[in-house]
Amino acid sequence: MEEEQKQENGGAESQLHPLVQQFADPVRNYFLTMNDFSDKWDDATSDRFKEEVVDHCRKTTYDFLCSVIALTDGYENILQQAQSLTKWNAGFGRFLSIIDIEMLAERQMSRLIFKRDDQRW
Amino acid sequence: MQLVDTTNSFVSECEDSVDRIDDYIFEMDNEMQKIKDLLAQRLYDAEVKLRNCDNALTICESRVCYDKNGGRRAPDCSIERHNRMKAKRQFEVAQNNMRRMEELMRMADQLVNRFNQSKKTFEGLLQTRLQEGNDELKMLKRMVDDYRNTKLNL
Repeated sequence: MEEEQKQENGGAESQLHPLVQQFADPVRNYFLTMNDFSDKWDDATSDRFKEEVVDHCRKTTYDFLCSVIALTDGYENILQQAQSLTKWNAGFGRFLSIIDIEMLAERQMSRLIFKRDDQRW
Repeated sequence: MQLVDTTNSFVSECEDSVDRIDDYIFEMDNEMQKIKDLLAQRLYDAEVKLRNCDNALTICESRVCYDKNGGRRAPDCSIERHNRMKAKRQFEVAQNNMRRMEELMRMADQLVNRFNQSKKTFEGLLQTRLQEGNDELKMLKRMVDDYRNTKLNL
């Protein structure tokens, strides 16, 4: 059972960006220790500590990690779209007119030989 | 004191990781800028090409041609017109690609701004709230030690 859960967690982690994964161990270890102490402590001071420090820390860390995931996922996607704008057929739809086909052929030839789009060295 | 040590190592590991995210943003920004520069070059190329085709068409249209009977006729500029049409299409495509790139860069800026807000809160937690928590724990420990020493002295 434990092994299965480990595998499940491992699968989920491996899908994450390395920048998110790097937080996994420190965050897990920290909260495991905190939870351990929370179970042992039982007085008014520790309740206040749990509420003001541990719970606040948990919520802020959770929000921050979500924002790291949003940043990495979003940025990778944006970069991929930006890279697609540099392809030979960027900016054209699926159906090309005769003019488009001729233009694309010239563009590819220019890029191949002149490394730019207008046949100049 | 285990809690204090755990907190300190959590803070230091997280601070290193946050620095790595800043490096990542810097690298991605650079990549985006490189692509934008390339597209700007292509837009410029397309503009030059269109201008050249315009000039060629103007020159062609201003030519004086005569037919077999010696009468004036309009010059045949179909090739120039066709080339201009292609160049115009290429220019429009380059313009659209550039506009899309600018839009993507704005989206990336928004993404980074949103992340920076969350990062500020998280850094506040690491640098202030958890340090205060540690101070609180140290004070509690001092109080317990003092109490224990007083009891032993009695």
